[in-house]
Amino acid sequence: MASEQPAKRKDPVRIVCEAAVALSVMAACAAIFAQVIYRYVLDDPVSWLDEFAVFMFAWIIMLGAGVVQAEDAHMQVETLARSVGRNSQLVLYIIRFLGMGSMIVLLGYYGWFLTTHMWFVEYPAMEISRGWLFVVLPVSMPFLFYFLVRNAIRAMRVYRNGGKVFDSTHSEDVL
Amino acid sequence: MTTFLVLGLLGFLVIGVPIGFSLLLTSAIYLLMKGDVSLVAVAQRTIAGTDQYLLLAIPFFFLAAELMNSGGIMQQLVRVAMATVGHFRGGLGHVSVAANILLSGISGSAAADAAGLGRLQVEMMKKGGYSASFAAALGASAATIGPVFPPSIPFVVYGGIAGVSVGALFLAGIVPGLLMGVFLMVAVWVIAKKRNYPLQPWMGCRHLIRETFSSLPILMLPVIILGGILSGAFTATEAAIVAAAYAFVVGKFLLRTLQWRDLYPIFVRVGTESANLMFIIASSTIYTWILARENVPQELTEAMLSLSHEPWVVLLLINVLLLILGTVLEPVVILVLVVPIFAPLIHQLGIDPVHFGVVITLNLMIGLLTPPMGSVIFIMMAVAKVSMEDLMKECWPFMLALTLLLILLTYVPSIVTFVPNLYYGN
Repeated sequence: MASEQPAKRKDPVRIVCEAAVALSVMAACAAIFAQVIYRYVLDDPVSWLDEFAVFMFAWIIMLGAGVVQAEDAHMQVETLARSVGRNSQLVLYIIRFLGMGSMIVLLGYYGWFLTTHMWFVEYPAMEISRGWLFVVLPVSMPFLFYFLVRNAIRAMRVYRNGGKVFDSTHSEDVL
Repeated sequence: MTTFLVLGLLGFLVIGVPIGFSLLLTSAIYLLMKGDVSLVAVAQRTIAGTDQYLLLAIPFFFLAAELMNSGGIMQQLVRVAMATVGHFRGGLGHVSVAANILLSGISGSAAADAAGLGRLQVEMMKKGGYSASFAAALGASAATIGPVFPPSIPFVVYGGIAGVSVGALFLAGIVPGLLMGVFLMVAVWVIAKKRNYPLQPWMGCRHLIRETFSSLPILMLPVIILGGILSGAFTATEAAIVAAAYAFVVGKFLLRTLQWRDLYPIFVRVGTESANLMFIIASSTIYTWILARENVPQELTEAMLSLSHEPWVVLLLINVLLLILGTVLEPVVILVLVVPIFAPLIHQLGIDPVHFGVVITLNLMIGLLTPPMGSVIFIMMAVAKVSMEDLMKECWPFMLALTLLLILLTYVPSIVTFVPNLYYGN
């Protein structure tokens, strides 16, 4: 009798990231749906609900980008990279890693800079600091960086086992 | 410096850097080289790119489609299509096209349509005596109706960038979307006659009415979206959330195929799919800001106008350029890069931005059928387990049909603007 394979444990960081994305989507949905009820049923629109939904949208995008990075599924043009030899692929992958890593650090660093420098500016309807919007960058970028490094380690394993590093990625198109 | 902006971006794209990061990298290096603007602008513009109420409709349209899809609507749509057009020569091919038109009223995404309906289409057509590569080529071509027939994700993106009414774009997409179906069906009919594909029996009007009636809750979704926006009752974003709520009620209480436990993975998928698209749009904000700062749109307008002041020549040039770009770039990237650049030119030549939006979207959909970046081609290759060579051999008549339609829509704008003009007036 074949022994049962233990279920592969999901990365706890990814679980947290996915939960945050799901909560953000739910919050944005609830806000816009509540606005529809307030505006068209109760005839009393609440101005901060639209503002809150757009605010949550930023969190959906940046935390969702983390989950996309966990799957290494950001939209990309891989045709040339996949067509070159194994060692050339490794060079391109390292350039790709450094490029993406530097942008993640840049967004995280300047995101924190904006959070602290824009704290005094408030949303007109929600009356909370716009710093809560900019803080999405220093919060989400560590997720992206973590998944970037994790994917790079996986790609290096593929390379060590004689495979091609770009075989470990899979881009997607949503249109 | 403009050359660097173009070549730098292309260079990063070609070596496999994800599109959003390629845009950020090119912009950051440009700012470093120029030295007159702080790198903080990269983060500031990226966040500003997320701060758009209209684009919030995108996750809600994804949500409505996900909730509907989990309700097992594909078989239902195929049955309606079968009852409607299954008896024509090449019947199952027409069913494939008609099912895509019905699905396009729900999803608005070509990749989602190909992935959702593709397997069913291929299995059904293979059983009916059609080759897998023909079924896959037709499935891929028919999936491109999704983003043209309302609701449409590219129309929301275009509307957001160009400042054009999404309601007008949705209305403008109805006739071109249906014409895409007609043009593809004509191509199917010609091929079926040549290859003597089998005929299906006509099941009668009563059967058609019964199938349509049982699918009515699903078919009502686009009516709710369009009706909500056009009646002035809802914004596009509100219409999308109402559609999602409706899809939830249909899936949970009417079809009873949606479980509470399905909701969490759906929310994760919706957030992730939206992020994949929106991260590019947010990242492009700094890049297009730099392009505007470098006067690229004005320079391009002058260059194009130096070639010709005739709108038909300019539209021809734009179409050719987009068809070439469509072979190597994703539609959303082309939209976010090209629309801000061409907007002044279109305005100067007096071309209707609604007409231009539909033409550009149809053009980009043809790009989805061309390698090396034709994503629906790859989806259908995987679904039907056929080679790209076999699929492309079967695909060219459909691409030709869609290209003929593109020419027709480009040079007879009233086909596109007729419905929105009827509703909004000139």
